[in-house]
Amino acid sequence: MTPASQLPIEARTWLDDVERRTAPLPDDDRRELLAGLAEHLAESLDGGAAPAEVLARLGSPRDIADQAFQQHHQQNGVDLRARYFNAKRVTQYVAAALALAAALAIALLPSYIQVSTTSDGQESITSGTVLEVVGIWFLLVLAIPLILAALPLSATGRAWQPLSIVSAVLLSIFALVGSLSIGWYFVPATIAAIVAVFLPRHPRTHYRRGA
Amino acid sequence: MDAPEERILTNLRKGVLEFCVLAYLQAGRTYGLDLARRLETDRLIASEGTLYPLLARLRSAGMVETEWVESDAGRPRKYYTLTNLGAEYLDAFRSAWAPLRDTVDRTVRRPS
Repeated sequence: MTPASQLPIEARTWLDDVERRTAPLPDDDRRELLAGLAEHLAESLDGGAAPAEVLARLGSPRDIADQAFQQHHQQNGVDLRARYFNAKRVTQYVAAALALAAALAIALLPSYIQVSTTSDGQESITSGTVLEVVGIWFLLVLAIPLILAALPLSATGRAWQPLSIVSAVLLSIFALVGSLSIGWYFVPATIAAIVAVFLPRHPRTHYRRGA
Repeated sequence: MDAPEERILTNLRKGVLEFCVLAYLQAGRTYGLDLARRLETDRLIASEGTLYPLLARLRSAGMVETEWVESDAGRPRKYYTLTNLGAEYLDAFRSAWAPLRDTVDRTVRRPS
């Protein structure tokens, strides 16, 4: 039995690619698949074939992963291929929607009151929406949590989880730092973003093998 | 090969490939590389790697077993063998296939 670590680098990279793409499969199926492929590689290379040629004849990791999902579907009736929309993605859209609602509420609701004292001791009260009172530049501040919440929406593959974490952490900081003023409006969006971090990227199903 | 023919071929193979694999194994236990090469030569699979998801499924379904066998080549080889369950499944396919094949042949034959 040749351990996979003894294979040349291109073969190992290729196998890692297959492993990554078949992550949603049950562990034993994936292990058996990779073992079969590793053995095929070891046997071919022992016979003196060039790695590039062996890998070309094996085909692309993508095709093999596709085939693996098809086989799983045939056997179990469940399609495990990665989908753009799942619980994680939906939750992140909810976070973005909540951030948008918060931003609109702050910008458009006439709820901001600014009290200032003039030089001759008179109190002056200005009220209106935040934008009217503070200035239109405040839209830039409101855009920050929106951008943070939208950050993970376009990500697929490896970047998705890191972006999800960055989004949740920065939103939390924004909500905290601004907690004396507008920050707490964005708490619902922050909570949704944090929940999304803990949801799985792809469906994982575990079966008990039938007799 | 034209695109529609390729698509049709892919779909037809889906139904029969596992039985061809089981039949190969019934003729004698084989190791992965040998099986993959023969199937690819017979154009039953598009690329050698696509055999292995099928073998994994057949194994988990109990149709196929694996064993390590010492060979003169020096390194032990992983051999695939047909189980009794696999042989039964293959027989069931044979019963279904022959009449279906004849019917389809008759049906799609070009009118002369």
